[in-house]
Amino acid sequence: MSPFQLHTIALQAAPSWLEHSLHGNGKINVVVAVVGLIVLGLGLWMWRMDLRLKRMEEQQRK
Amino acid sequence: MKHWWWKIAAVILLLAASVAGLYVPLAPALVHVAPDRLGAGSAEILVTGYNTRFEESMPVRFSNGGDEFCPQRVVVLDATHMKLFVEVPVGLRAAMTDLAIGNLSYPGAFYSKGGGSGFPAMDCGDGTPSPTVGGFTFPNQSILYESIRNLHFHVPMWFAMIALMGMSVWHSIKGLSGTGTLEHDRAALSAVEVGLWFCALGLLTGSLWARATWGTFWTNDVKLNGAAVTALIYLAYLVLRGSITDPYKRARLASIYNVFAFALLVLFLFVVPRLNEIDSLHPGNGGNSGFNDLDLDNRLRIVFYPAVAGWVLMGLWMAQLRTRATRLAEQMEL
Repeated sequence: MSPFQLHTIALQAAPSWLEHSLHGNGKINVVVAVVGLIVLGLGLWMWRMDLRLKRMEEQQRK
Repeated sequence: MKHWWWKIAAVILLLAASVAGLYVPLAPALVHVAPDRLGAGSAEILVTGYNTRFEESMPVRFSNGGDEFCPQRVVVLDATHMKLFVEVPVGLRAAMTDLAIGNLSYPGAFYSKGGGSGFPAMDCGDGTPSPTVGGFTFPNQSILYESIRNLHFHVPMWFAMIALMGMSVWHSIKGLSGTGTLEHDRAALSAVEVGLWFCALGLLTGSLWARATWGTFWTNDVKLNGAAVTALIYLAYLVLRGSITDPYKRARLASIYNVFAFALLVLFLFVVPRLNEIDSLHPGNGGNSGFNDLDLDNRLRIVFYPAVAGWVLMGLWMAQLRTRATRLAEQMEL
């Protein structure tokens, strides 16, 4: 049996999409989501602080 | 420069910890075998590795009940896939059979009925030591895999939250015991507001991590519920403040509430989850070992501690900005 044939068998024996995403990517997706969420959270906080300062600026102009 | 060195430190620490937390490779490991049940007779087993570099010269060992047997033939398909052709001996003693390839081991890789009377042990030889991914790596733990990196992102959210709540209660006590009541009250409020922000991020990131490791976004775990109750206690602090109009009265009442809130935080996050009678999925609680006993080794620590310091400083910076903005707003309205 050639290595190529073996590899074909390997691909058949292996894995559904779940296995692929878990073992293939080693669950990196959740790390990306977590880091993304934290950046988003910081961005939201900055936006709120921006609004707060803007209100003060408007009041000062009056 | 004198007053903002710690803000520079926050950025440098966060940059270093985040880059290292994402960039450092995971140690190689055996992650999957198919089939994972063994019966006497010939078997073809496909082994999947992660970050491995399989080579045919690597010694392969099956070990069952203290005795070893080895495959008749090994075919390496690629760096992370290996096919084992093995004649499984009659008389496997234990139900679980361990697999070792080179210096990588997969305890309990295979299940069989077990209960046999043993088999003649084979000498699988030493072979050449397996090549490993060199240099600095993070431990590769079953179920966690790459998500072990979340240690450097999810956990510091809670450290920052606790530091902020601690600073808040310090300001509350100072405000109750001396002059500058309103100024201390302002600082206490800002710290709670930013702390709740980190609490929300901690809950959300934890929920995502739970989905990937425990299979559910939320479970009635003592640590999880404790964190949720703590969040509610601090939300009630904001509600309480909103119900009082006189600033001095508000400062005093909120400060007293804050002392109790912090005591409950310590109780719900540190005391209750560690009670021995209570089981918890979360590492470091109940009968469960923390990462530090098992595998929070120095490779993780060297990234984790700077991440914690960075996020705590970042949280203090955010709270300081809020205090300053609130102070300005109050001065302008007066």
